[in-house]
Amino acid sequence: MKVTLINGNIPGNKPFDDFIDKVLSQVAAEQVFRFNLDEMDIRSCTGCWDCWVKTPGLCMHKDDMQQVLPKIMESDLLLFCSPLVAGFPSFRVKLLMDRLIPLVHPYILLYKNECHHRKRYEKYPDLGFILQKEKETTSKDLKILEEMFQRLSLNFHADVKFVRTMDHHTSESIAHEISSF
Amino acid sequence: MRLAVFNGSPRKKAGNTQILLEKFAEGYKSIDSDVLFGAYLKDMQKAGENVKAFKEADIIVIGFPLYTDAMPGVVKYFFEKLWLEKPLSGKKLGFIVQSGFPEAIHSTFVEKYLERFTENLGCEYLGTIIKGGGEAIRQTPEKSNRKLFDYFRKLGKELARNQQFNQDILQELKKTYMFSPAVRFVFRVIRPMGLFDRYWNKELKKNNAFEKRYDAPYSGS
Repeated sequence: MKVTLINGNIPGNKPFDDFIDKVLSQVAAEQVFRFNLDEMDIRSCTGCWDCWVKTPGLCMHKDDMQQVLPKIMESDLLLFCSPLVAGFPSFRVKLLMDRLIPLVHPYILLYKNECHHRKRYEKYPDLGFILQKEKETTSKDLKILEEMFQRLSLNFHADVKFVRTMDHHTSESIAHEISSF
Repeated sequence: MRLAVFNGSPRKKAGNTQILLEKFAEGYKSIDSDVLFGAYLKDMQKAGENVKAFKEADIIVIGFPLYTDAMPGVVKYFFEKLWLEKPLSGKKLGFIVQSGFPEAIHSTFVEKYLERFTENLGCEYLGTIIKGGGEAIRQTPEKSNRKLFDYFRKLGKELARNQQFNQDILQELKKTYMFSPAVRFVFRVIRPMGLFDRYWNKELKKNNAFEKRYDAPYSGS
C-alpha cells in the first residue's frame, strides 16, 4: 500500500506538523510520498486547458506539481493534511486540487446520474483527510466539508475513506485506519 | 451604497465569469454609479489592495468558476486574508458561481460553505447565484445569451434598488438541479454519436493532439 501525503500546514503551526509526524511513525505502508506545500512551488491553474486539448494529460506549468502527479497515480491513498483556515484546508491545498484536472478527460459522461469527466486512468487513489479545527469549526462545518470532499472524489471516480481531525482523533487511531486500508 | 465586485477566475478577463460580472455591474450602475469593478483575485500579490477595497464597500459580490467542486485556490487565498480582518460587520456579501456542468447540483455544496464563511466573517449573506453550463457562454453569440445577460443585469439593478438578490431569478438560473430520467435516457442514447465531444475534438485537432487524446502519461508509475 502506497500513500501520497499532501501537507498543507501553515507556517508556525508546529502542533499540526508534530501530529502528522506522529501519525506517520505509526503507519505501516509500503511507501509514503510526503509533500510539504509551504516548501514547494505550485502555481494556480490558469484554466488554459492545454492538459486537455494540447498536451493531453500534461499541464503546461513546469513547477513542483510535476513531481506530485506521478506519485499520486502510483498511490492507493491520497492523504490531504491541513489545518482549517477560514473553514477550509489551506489555500495551498486548494491550489494543488485545482491542478488535478490533467488526470481526467475533458469528455463528459453520466456517472451516478450526473455529468462528470471521463476517466483518463483505470484506477485512482481514494482520498483521506486529516484536519485541524479552528475555534469557529462546528460539527455542521465538518459535515459540509466532508460532502465537498466527496464531490471532489466523484470527479476522480474514487471514494473518501475518512475525514479525521487531530482534535477528535488520536494519532494511533488514524494510523491504524491508514494501515488497514 | 458602494458595490465592490471581485473576479475570482484564474482566466481573469478572458473567462466566462467576467462576462457575467460585467452584465451584473452594468445593471447595478444603471441605478447607482458607486461600483468598484476590475479586481482580479488571481493577482495574489494585490491581496492587500483587494482586502482594502472589500472593507470600503457596503455590498460585495465575488464571482468565480467552480474548480474541483469548490472555489479556485486563488479565491481561497483571498478568503484567508479576509479571515484575518473579521469581524467585517455591516456589509452584505454574495457570490456568483458558474460551472461548466449543466446541472446546478455541482455548485450546491460550495454554496453551503460560502454561507457559513459569510456568517463567520460577520457579513450578511445575500445568497449565491448559481449558473450551470457556463462554459458555453464564450462559445455562443451574444444574441443567444440575451436572456441570460438580461437576468444578470436585472440581478444587479435590483441589488442596487433593494440591497437583495432577486430570488425568482436565482431559482430560474438553477432550475436544472439534475437531469430528469428522460433527459438522462436521451443523453445516453445520443452520447455515442459524439455530439458532446465535438468542441473538444475540434480543439484537439487544431492543436495536432487528437491522436494523443487518450494519453495517460503517468500510467507507468
